[in-house]
Amino acid sequence: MSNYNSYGGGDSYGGYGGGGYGGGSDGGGGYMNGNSFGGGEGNGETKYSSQGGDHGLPEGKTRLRPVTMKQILEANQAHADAPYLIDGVEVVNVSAVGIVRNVTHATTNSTYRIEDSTGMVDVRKINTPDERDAERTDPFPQVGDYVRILGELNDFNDKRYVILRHIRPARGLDEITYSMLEPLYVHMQTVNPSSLGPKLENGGSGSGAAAAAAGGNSYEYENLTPIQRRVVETLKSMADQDMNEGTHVQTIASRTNMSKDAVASACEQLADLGLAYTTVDYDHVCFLVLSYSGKTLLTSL
Amino acid sequence: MSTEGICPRVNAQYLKPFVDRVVRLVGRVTQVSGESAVLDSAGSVTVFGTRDIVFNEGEIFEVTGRVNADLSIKALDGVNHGTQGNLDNVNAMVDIVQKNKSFYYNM
Repeated sequence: MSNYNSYGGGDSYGGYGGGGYGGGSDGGGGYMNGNSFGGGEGNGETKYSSQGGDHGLPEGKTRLRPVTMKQILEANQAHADAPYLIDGVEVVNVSAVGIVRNVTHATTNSTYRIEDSTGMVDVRKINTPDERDAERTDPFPQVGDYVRILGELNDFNDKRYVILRHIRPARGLDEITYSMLEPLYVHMQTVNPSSLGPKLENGGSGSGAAAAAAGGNSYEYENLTPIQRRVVETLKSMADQDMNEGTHVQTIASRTNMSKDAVASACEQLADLGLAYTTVDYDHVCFLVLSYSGKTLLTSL
Repeated sequence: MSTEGICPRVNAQYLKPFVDRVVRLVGRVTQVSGESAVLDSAGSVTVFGTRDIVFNEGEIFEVTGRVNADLSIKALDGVNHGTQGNLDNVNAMVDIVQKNKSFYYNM
């Protein structure tokens, strides 16, 4: 659980999922570094290898989505074990701000009823054995506190819960204001990216610009770094011409105006992610396309 | 879905449709008399407080309460946000919330 704590110190959740959302985060292009949520260049392997293969698209587990309480309550599942969907997109980890309206302590857990004006959600903290006594005198959170929570969606006895991973005081009025707008922005980004128009492309952050440069559906590639994304785009555009042989790393490098080394390492990472494979030799790379239900399925994306 | 915890965010400009309903409003206290106060929230709103809410002039309060017919508010709960915070942003946020009501509220 300790890796969640790294969120407490920063505002980088604002960069939800990395690319494409443009502004919002000044914490490094939207990628959250150095923990299991991270999509950074260094730790892609661990992130994906921990996913297991139950669901087709594992991205939900690596993503932290800012939501309103209403969205938490209305997230739906196809069946009891299916992933939660918000706007049709898989969601596991959520981030929300609200005011604590009730606190109850039980032996194994503490439940906080939290409300953000859009709905009331029970947030349940599983107490570790050594917390069980100390927890009852915990000065935070108390009724009336505005808090930022991070947690996982869950159901118990047909009731929606959030399993609490991290909680901290909200940082004043401005974070509360922001917390109302961020879920709407991500919702719009998800259901109708074009409605956000030029703001998206001129968002100012490097990943935002790169996502726009990658063209089309940036949402597909949001887990990738800007370099990886450009390589994928190039590979896709070359796929028709080089059916079997793949594309030479040097060709990608000259097309994208990037160094051969950068492209080669990006290709290696893409291969690790299962998105690309080498062909006749290690310098020829091909983009992996799987067909599924009549539409293209990008593995691991 | 239960309506528990639902209290639309408004400011002085949006009170009319919410008479007899519980809303949430953020404003700076401009005047205090006893348990009631006048808040500036994109316009003046009179708020009748409770014994637990102590209004101080100049402080920003977030009030949850029922809207009276005269567009004053009977507070049920108040949160003191101190003096720091951008009320222009709050009012811009309220505009956006009111324009996207179906995203935020089941009403």
